[in-house]
Amino acid sequence: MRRHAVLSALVAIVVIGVGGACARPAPTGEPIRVIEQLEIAELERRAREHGWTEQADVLAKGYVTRADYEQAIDHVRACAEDGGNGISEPTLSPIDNLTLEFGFPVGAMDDEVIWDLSDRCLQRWHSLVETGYQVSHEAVMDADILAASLTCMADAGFPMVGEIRNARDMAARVSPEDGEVLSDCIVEAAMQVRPDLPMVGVAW
Amino acid sequence: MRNTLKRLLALVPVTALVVGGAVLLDADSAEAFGYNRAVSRACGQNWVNSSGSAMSGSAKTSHYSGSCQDILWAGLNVKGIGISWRKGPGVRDIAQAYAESLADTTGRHKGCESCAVTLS
Repeated sequence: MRRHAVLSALVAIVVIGVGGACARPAPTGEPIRVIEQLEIAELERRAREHGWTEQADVLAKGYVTRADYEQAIDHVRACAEDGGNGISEPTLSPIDNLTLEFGFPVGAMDDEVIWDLSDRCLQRWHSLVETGYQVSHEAVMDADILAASLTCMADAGFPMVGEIRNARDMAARVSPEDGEVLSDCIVEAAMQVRPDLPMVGVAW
Repeated sequence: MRNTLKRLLALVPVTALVVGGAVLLDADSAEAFGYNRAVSRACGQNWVNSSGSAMSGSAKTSHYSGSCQDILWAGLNVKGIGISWRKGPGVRDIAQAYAESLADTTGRHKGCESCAVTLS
């Protein structure tokens, strides 16, 4: 009986020890990782590899200006119009105050035709330049959305401390596996403080 | 841990179809939100996820495994705006598009600028 009790105690200690080793440490709120982004030189290389010369020439400067970015959008507009379509008026995202968001209206055309057109035009004229613009400048989330996002994350068990200005700063404070918690919080926060927004895009 | 478990459970029906060796008739429709799964590329896998309804919905594309270093895209068909894509500067994290008042309930996803579009 006594040996049984000792064995039971030893098993319990092992189980508790293993369970403790598997338990995730409570988040400190400080950065725990670096968010990977592509270098502009790599973006240029990819543009040239695909034969997207105009994008490559912009990226070759090593820095993408707002004028470069707007020019890329103008190219997309021309591409869409050549395809019998167009784009909606670009609006500045309050999530990063960098990205100019727009859509390809469907109208009387078949949805799948417009999906294909959007994909082709964005690849050819815009995608890598936009990325280059986003890595050339610091994203700054609108203060009210940022505050609501931080509250949401704290409520979800992810309090955050330190200098935080954008989604990337917040993402650096959670593991990749918890990225969806963060993106959902940012979307929820944006819709809560800006209920008039028709769409929210989040990425880092 | 919770998200990892969720993703593992979502893989079970796909795995069963492959192991069974039968023609891959997916149990879930690819034309409605919720056909969530891992999508393979040579360099790894991305996770595609969509949820909601025509009143409000979300499409997410996130890094799942492997060494891929590409921009992730997430797209929705939004009433009043049209076909809209969202993508970000990071290469191994997430892109999410959310909208209220959708023209359809299909999420669109890309794992790189020249990758084919995946539906969810």
